[in-house]
Amino acid sequence: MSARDKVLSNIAEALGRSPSEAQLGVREMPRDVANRLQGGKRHTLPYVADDLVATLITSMESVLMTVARLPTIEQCVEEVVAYLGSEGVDVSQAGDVTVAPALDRVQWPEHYGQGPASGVEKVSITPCIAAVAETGSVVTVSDGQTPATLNFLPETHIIVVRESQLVKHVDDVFPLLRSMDVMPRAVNFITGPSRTADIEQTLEIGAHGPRRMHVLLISD
Amino acid sequence: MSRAEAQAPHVGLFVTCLVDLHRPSVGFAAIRLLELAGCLVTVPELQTCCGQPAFNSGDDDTSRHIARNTITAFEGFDYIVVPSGSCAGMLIKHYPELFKDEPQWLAKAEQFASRCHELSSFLVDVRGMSDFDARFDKSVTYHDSCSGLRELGIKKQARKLMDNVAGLELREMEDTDVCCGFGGTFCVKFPDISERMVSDKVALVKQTGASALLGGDMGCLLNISGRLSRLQEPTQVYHFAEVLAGMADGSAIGEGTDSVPASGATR
Amino acid sequence: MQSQSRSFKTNASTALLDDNLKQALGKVKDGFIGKRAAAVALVPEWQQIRNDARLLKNHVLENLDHYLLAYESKVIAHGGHVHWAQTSADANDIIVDICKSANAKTVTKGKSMVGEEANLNEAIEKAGIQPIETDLGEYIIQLAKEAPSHIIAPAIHKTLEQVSDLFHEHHAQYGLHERLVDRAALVNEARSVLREKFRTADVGITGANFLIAETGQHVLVTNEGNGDLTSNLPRVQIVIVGIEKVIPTLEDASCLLRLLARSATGQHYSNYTSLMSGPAHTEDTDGPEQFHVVLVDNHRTEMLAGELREMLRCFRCGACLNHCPVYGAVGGHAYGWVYPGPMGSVVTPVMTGIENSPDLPHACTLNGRCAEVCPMSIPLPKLLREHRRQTFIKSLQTPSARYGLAIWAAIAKRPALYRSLTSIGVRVLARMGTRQGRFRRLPMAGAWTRERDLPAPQGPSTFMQQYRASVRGKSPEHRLDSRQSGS
Repeated sequence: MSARDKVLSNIAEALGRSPSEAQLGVREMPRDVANRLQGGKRHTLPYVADDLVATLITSMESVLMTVARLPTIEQCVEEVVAYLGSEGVDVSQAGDVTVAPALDRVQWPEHYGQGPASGVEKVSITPCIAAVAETGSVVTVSDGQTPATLNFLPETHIIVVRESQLVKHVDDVFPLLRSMDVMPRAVNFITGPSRTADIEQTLEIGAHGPRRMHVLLISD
Repeated sequence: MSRAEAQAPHVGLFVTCLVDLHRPSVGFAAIRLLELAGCLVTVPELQTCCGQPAFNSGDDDTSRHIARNTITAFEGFDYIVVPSGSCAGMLIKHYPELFKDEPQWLAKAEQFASRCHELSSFLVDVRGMSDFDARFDKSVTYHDSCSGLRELGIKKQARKLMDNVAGLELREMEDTDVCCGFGGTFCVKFPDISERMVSDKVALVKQTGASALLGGDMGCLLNISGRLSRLQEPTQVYHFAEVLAGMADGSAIGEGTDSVPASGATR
Repeated sequence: MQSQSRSFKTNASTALLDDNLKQALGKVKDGFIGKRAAAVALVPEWQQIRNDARLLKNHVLENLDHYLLAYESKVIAHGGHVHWAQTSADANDIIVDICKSANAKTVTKGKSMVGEEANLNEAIEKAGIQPIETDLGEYIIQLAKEAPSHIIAPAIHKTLEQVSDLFHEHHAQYGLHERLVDRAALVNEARSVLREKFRTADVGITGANFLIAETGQHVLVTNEGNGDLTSNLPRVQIVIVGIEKVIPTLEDASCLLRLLARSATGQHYSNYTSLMSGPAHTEDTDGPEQFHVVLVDNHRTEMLAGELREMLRCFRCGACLNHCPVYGAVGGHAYGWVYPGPMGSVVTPVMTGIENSPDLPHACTLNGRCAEVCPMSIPLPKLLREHRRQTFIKSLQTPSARYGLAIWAAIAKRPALYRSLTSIGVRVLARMGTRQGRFRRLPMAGAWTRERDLPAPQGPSTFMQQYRASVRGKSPEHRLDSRQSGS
């Protein structure tokens, strides 16, 4: 008997199934399980105020993200330059900034790179697929246009969020995921810069992932 | 008998072994309070212990034997009242559990449990009484027993009762919901862990500056009082029933006829 | 991990004398406890969400095989491999084989409790491969060659100074020659050293918080981002996970995630909550080439079959440990194995044998604070009593405990005998103790009287004796119960 068979038969026995029911290969999925797996049945949702933008910004700031509100995406470049300047991050060299290919229609400075994270860039700029007011999270997915490593390697992560991408609850992101042709390999709900409290239970920012997260919230 | 007496609910007092052996005044105080609340009180002789020591040690057979004795001894009463959260928890929550495979005894245990109440909860929630015309001119802090708190949801009732005691100043301690380290056999099986827990509790009691500690469970009170007196702290320890019934003018728990409070102050 | 749970009592006694430990554990009150309370207070729907979670998980357990098979078929459809391990040793063999096939020299690891059960790092090392823990707390104790003492904060028992010492000793090889004393500097140092390890690792191994049957994804929750770096960078990704972690859908994951971070650290959401699946797609420009999931039983089906099934709802948040006053006094190492505190005392006897951990279920006052805060409503005191039942039946309690209980039981079952013996005992003790009101010392009461006085019985007799005397001659309403025995 393979380990798989043994474990499955242990389970069947533990659940008091009759031997014929438990027989591998003829096991039929019960109707309620099959229905459940269609997905969509929500549980109790916590209250979230209707003003999603205000709620989002409050949640994000509470987890130490900073938020800049911009009328259109065209203002992003100016804001990025200003932000990095105010944080004292020098990005004058080629390779200092990597932008997700999905954002290539924005007129970034010439020397900004594109693609997955090289590992030596100081800043990444990515879009997201949604932002969740309930938790203050940005949701990013991995693919060729939005490589996942951009979310984790650089010290500074700048995310472009459109107000139209704002949803109330985490569960509101799921229909979006289900509508995709293929589920992305990595779906990240990112709620703040990287942190740890592993030394004497005191919070330090910038454990392995970014130590700075700046959100460009576009109102269009 | 008079009409009032005929209508009075008949309460069987489950004394608890710690009150029976250690501090009879709590039993008499409970009777007094129940009578003031308009009840007729009887104390059946066939009770011994609720059976917690056996139950918590995994000896289900002994627990069931004791449970059957107790259930039988209290047949016919309108209510069974218990001056202890942990013993009440045992009777109410765990007696039915013990008989989950015996339908007849399960039914009896459930019927029995439905008539059982911890003392403070009975007075306030069932009899609707919270003022016993008591007086206790001291600052007091209150210890909630874990079983009373968590198994039976008892916390507000004692506060309501103390609210109406003239002269009593309640000073809540921090972390009232943290265990004092008694835990029945735990305190003698793991004495050093228990000592740490009771020392932490004593520190919180001291922090309030209260001159007295009240509670509803003799086990907890013996434990905390024992540590207080080893540390020569003057805090006096009583069961709340004694204070409420105006019977807290004798020696406190752990105090003798000779004993002078460590501070030398008069009581 | 080798079990040291037999020596719980000795370990506990030693731990109680450790001032560093006392200080470290003292921080839990405002830390994990205070923050959790604050976070929960902001969610009026907390009890409903908790109830939803309990019901959903019970449903899963009743259909565990179906959900595991559904998860497996999705993983395979996405190009991943699913392996089943009955025992921890089997899991290790499978993982070492994968690493060897990948010609791995180094392996980065995210924190995995089921990996600790299996002593996975040791197995990897024995195969000549270097495992590197990437969660900062796990990294610290890996340097110290110690076991984790808390399931969320493995290095909770370490002071800043001890961490400085460890880095000073072990990071010289990376060019660190000064002794860093600043917390931020130490975190930075770990960041830069581990960054290299992330990049050069051949294999990345993580645990999983949940497995989603609907999509074939696993959920990985971290604050540091180390789980994602471990999963995204190496060529080969392995997930080791207990079979009880499967849940049906994305919405079910969302329900549990609302409880997880709040219960564990008091955050409303952890920093990185990632849903991951499978190897890289053709259009991905990063991600692993190979993806493996190792499903581990290790006594879980045993719990499923018996009185301990509810323990399988546990998702290892650590709330019970944080709120347990016994854990708070002795810390995690005293428990002697992977899992400390209330959930550890339930799980350890199952996974390592009750004969190897007979004290654990008894090292508890049954105060119930753990069950109150458990997000999955696991009745921990009830499960601990079940173990006590087993230790009683198997005579695993100490002789003195057994005799004491037997004698007490013989008396308590017999009201007449109880009355007569207790009246004698009380009379004697009351007389001895009336003046002082307490005993500093008493034969047979050594465990109590070491650090406490024993209050003397009020006396002069028992309540029942006094009551009987007081009602003699009173009106019928105050009569004794008419069924009194002829004593």
